[in-house]
Amino acid sequence: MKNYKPIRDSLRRANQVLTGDRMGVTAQIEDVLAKHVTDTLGEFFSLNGFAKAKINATKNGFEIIIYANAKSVKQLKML
Amino acid sequence: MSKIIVVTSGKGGVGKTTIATFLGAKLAKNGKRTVVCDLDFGLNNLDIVMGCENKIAYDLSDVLEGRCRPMQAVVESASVKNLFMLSSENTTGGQHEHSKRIRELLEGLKTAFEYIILDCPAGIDSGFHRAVSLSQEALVVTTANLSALRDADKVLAILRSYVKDEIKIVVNMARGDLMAEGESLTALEIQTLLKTKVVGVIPHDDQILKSKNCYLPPDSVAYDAFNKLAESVQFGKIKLYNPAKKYQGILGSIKRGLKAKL
Repeated sequence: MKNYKPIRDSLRRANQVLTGDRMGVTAQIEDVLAKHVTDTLGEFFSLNGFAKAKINATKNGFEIIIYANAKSVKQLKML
Repeated sequence: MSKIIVVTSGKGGVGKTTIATFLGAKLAKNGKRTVVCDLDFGLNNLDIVMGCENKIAYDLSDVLEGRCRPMQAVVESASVKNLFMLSSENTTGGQHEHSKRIRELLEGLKTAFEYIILDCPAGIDSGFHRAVSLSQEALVVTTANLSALRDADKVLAILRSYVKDEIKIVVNMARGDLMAEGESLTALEIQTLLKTKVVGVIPHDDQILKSKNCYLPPDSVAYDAFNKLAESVQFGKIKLYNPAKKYQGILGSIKRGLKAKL
């Protein structure tokens, strides 16, 4: 019987690999970027969880979307 | 007017030489004088696939270095009229950077042959670039395997930077039973993923492995598939062989089940 899953694992994986290769940016890079952003934002804000990063290829380059949520601003020590 | 077509892939072992050979044989049987040239210096095997390994007196390097005339190195197939081959060098000695001389050679061959098929080496190094720069059209051979698709995608990106009349894909070693089960990508899916037209689907067929001198029995699945590929190349009419057809429906399910058990 033909597999009628909306999108098969093999097709999804192929799409992901080829898109990542063409963009030069992979999901792993988004995870690394999110971690760095979390660390940097965490110095200024008390974050609710980890920040998220999404990189989309556009005609002129890349669109980078960062999402983070914080409950308060940290008290910064001034010299 | 003569056409020069390069058969390439990026990934090794997907069947470039097989496709080049059997496509050449079909074009020859359609009455077109066809020569298949092995451009893999050092790792040549076109002579083996065509069954001409004992007929090679001169090869491409002899022509390029002036030791013989081009037509002295061109060998006619013993079993297919109008089919010829030009073997590459059978040693692993030095790189031959004779792009200009190869171009002149191919221009000369155009007067004698209607189709010149270039069997490209695997990879994307200088040998690949030399082969693709010499051709007007390109056939990129891939399988449904993801690693082959990935390499084909990279090759397609490089080919688009060359001025080519046409760039098309041939899907080789297609498993109809897996396609029918949804476990292997179909030709249409590959066409969508690679954003390039598929003009041929060649099924996995033991008759290709058993073949001697480019002969395929008319009742073999690959025979029909190569006929359709030759029509696509010669006339531009794309008719894809569907390897999944015989594995669909109730009888098809039984065939798939039996195949899985064997």
